[in-house]
Order: sequence, then structure tokens, then C-alpha cells
Amino acid sequence: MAAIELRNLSKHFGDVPAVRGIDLAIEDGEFIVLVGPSGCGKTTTLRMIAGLESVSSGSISFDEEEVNRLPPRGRDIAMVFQSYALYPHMTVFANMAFGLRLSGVERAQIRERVRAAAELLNISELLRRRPRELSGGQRQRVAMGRAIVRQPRAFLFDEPLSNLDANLRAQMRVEIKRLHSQLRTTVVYVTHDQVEAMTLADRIVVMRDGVIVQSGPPEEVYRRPVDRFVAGFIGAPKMNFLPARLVAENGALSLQVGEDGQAEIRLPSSDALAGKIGEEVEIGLRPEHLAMQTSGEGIEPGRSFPFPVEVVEPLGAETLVFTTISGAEVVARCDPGLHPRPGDRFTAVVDTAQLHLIDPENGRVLAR
Amino acid sequence: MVVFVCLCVLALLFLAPTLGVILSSLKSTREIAFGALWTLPGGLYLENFREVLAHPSVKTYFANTFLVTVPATAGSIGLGILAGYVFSKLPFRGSELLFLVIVSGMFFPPQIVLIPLFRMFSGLGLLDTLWPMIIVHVAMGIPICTLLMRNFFATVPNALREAAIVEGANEWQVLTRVALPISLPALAVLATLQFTWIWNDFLWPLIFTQSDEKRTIMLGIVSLKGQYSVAWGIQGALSLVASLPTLIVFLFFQRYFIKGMTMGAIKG
Repeated sequence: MAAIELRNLSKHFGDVPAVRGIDLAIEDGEFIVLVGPSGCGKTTTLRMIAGLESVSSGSISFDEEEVNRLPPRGRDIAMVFQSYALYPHMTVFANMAFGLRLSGVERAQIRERVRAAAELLNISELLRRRPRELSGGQRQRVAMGRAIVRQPRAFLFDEPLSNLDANLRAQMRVEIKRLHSQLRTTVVYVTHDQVEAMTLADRIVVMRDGVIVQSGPPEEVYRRPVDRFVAGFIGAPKMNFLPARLVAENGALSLQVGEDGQAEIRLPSSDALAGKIGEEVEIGLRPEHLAMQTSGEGIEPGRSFPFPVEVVEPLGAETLVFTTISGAEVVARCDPGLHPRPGDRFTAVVDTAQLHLIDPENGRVLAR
Repeated sequence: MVVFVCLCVLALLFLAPTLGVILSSLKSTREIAFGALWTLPGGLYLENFREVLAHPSVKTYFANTFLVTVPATAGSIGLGILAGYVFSKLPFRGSELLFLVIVSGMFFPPQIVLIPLFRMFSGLGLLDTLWPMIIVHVAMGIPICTLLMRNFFATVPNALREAAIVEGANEWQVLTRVALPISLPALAVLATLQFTWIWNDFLWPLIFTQSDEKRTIMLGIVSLKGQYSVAWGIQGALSLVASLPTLIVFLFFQRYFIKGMTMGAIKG
């Protein structure tokens, strides 16, 4: 196992910067998920850690030893690829034993380690098969088995579940998490799927345009995003963003939602917002923080707005309802017991404690 | 229907010479001399084959042809593998241009280098040895071998190479343990093409050899024509015997051949 540290790490492809001076300290045994949209630099970062890409500037250290110039085989890491990258001409056993054979491990020990890994992943009966005879999920397990048998200092996962269907992906997420809790090996995991990031990570690292935007435990990143990008990227369905104006009357802060101030949401006083009074802001509100009610009766003033239902998405355990406010699409989670239908006129009650105010100029979260 | 008829006519045109050779190999010179080239033989006349197989020079021709064909095939494919792998997986500045230069070698007719090569090998004292044929066939095989192997290696996912490298393989191990074993169709195509081409070569042995001891099988067929008359039957028999190795090589690799000829045509 290894602690990995990236210091001011950059990578340029010609004149195009892919990673721009990132700093990240990964603790021994930690499960780190690099998440972000395509082209954010997460895979490039992973490939630099693996040694498959050279470093333009900055440094990568394993247990405080710089490995910038060390080839991949000298780093003692194992990588699971998006495409599984199983050797098609070899059996599952040979695939898993390949790295050990290259390292000169004794035959008996290879057999024992492959057997143990196969048992751990429940693929013992597949050892004589070739990759083309396996399903997608089985291939994924073999790819992980190939990594496990080497007992590396760190596992690197490059979007390993993206080729699986939704059910299998959910199943494999659980298995990866279980494996990590058993092995306690450092994991750096790249994905663009925020659900994978939330469910697997000890710590999420959100990247955009080659820089780290936010790093922290999943709950923290979800509840306290630093900006509009993180707020919108983490969470499904994504956070709602509503245009509003911040106003103050008799010392009380409130938000006028919509172009014509069609709703008013009262806010607790905040010093952080003092300079923004009278200005346009953006409200960030997660779908679960809008409670649907069929009537506005009994609701404290300044906590709700009308919600004419336009689209309904029943998901079973919950139902998503959609509407449009000042041109912005708003989605809310709704109790299926309300039996929402398009055309219903609900009242959305805002959980003001969970409301984020975003500066529309720079996207930073002003207050929460 | 028109296509079917056209194909049948074409097949007949291609098969007619072979049929002629088979028929003449089963007839005596006297029978052929009476103008019965295309008729069925009167009986099963195998004397031509007996004579060919008992002829002391034929064994030499075969041995010489093997001594040229096997190393030249292996050499050109080996170099094609190395060059193809580098051009496909380890590109460097100017590699595209270098690849074009190498592949353009396919488009030069061998006749334009006949005299320079003859003078060069004469200067090296290698005339009337098997070396010029081996060297020339290796060199002339490099463009097609490089082209085919480069295109095949390009279809091998980079992730396989990277997976092997992360697991501790060096480039040689990636090539020999991962890339080559999954390139058997390409190798089968190359082996068949190169073996057939080199085995059947007439031009280079004609230029570089003089003595009967250094002749290859294709020159040998001509040399068996007889001093005062053309020995159609014997030449036909030797032609058939001479084509057996290429037929065996094709049959051995044919399960890969069609797959290899169409490789890269479609994705996946």
C-alpha cells in the first residue's frame, strides 16, 4: 500500500494543457475518486500516476519517493481499464497470472494467488475460459482479479464500469467497495458517473478544465459544493438553479424568485450577503429540498412558490415532477402517494436551510 | 445468371493451363507429340513423375528453393513485424514519412534494380550463391510485410499494450506475448503470400545463378526441357511436384487466410 502525492502536477499535449498544476495528497489505503466531465483531465492524471503518460511539470510521489521517471513496471501499481484489456488469446488463469509470470513468481505461488483472487471474486469456475466466452460482468471481474493477484501498492481504475448495464454496474459498485474494505489498498478511481463517485469514494476529487475544483468526502461535496459547477455535477437529478434577486426589507433578507418576483423566499440574516443586496443571484436547490403539497394552506409565508406540474417521471419509490420557472427547468422529488399528473398545481415548500446562493458572475457559492 | 456464367468462364480460363499441365504430365512424349495435349491420357502413365523424382538435380533444386524461401520468408516477416509494431505502437517524429518511404518500395518494378544489384553482388563475390536471392527477397518483402503488420497492429487496442506494460512487460514482451499471438491471421496471410511469391520466383534465380547446383525449382523446370525436343510430360510433372509445397502452405494457413485478407475491413 502506498500514500500518493501529486505536487503542482501538469500535463500538456503540445500547446493544449490537459492538467494544470494540481495538488493532491492521497492517504495510504484511501479510496479516491476523480470525477468530472469528459476532457477535465481526470484520466490523464490517472495515466500519469500509472506512468503511462509523462509528466510535463510537477511531481508524483509514492510514499514520499518521487516516481516521475520510474516506468510503470517500477511503480508496483495495478490498473483496471475501461475496456478490461484482457488478453484475448489467453485463458482467464493466464490473464491473471501474466504479471506474476513476468515478475518471476514461482509457479506454485502463482497458482495459489490466482486461486485466492478467483475465489474472492467468485470466478473460480471461469479460469479455463477465454475472454470471448465471458459476459461483460465476468470480464470485469477477471480484470479486477488480474489486478488483485499482483498485490500492488495501489489500484488504478479507469472508468471500469462504464461498459456495463445499469444493474451490473450497481452490483459491481458494491463488490468494488467490499473488495476495498477487505484489501485496504490505496485506490484511485476515475469516473464521469457521479453516482459511482458518491457511492465508492472515501474522498471525491471534482475536476474541471485540468484543475481540481473541490475535494472532500462525498457527503461534504454534495451538501457544500463550492461552486455552481460542482453543485450541478454532483447529484442526480441535478441541482435546480433559479434566477432571483436578493432584497432587504426592514433588515430582513429575502429572495424574489423569477423575473416578475412571482415568489418570495425569506432568508436568515447573513453578513456574507450584505454586499449583494439588490443584485441578481442564483438559487441552488436540490430536488429533495422542495416538498410538494397539493395546497398552500398552513405554510409559513416566504417559504414556498407555486409549482404547476408539466412533466411527471414515476420511478417507483419516488416520482420526479418537473416545471419551468422563469425559463429554468425545476425538478422536485415527490411522494408517489400524491399521484401527480401533468397540469396539477402544487405548492413547492423550500427547505431554506439547504438553499445555496450562487454568484451568477463567477459561479461561486455565496452562502448556504 | 450473367455473373454466374462470367465466373464460370473466368474459372475455366484460370484452370485451363493447370488442366493442360496435369494432362500432359500423365502422357508420354510420343502421345503429346501426336498433338493430343488436351485429350484424356490413354492410360495411367506415371513415368514422367518417376523420372522427375529420380532425377538427381530435382532434389538439389528443391533443397535450394527451400534454403532461399524459408529464411527469406522468415526474414521479411520478422522485419515487417518489428517495423510494423514500431510504426503502429511507438510512433516518433517523422515516422509517418518513413513509413511512406518504406511502403513506396512496393511500387518500384524489380527490373529497374536488376543491373545495380547484379553489379553489387558480383562485386561482393556472391553471384552463383543463394545469398543474393535471400537478401533481395527479404528486402523486397519488407514493404508489404510492414504495411500489413502495421495495419494489423493498429487494430490491436492500445489498452492491451498498456495493460501489459503496467503489469511489468517491456516492449519486446508486449510484442511477443501479446501483440504477435493475436496477429496470427496477419502472419498466416504474410507467410502464405511471401512463401508462394519467393518459391515461384523465376527472375532473381535467373539473374544471380549460373550453375545447375544453385538453381531453384522454377529454373529447374526450364532446364529439364531437353536438348533437342521439349519434354512436355516431364516439365508438367515437375511443375505439379514443384507447386505442392505452396499448396501445402496454403492449406495449412487457409483457416486464417480469409479472415486475414478481410481484417480491418469492418470495425470490431
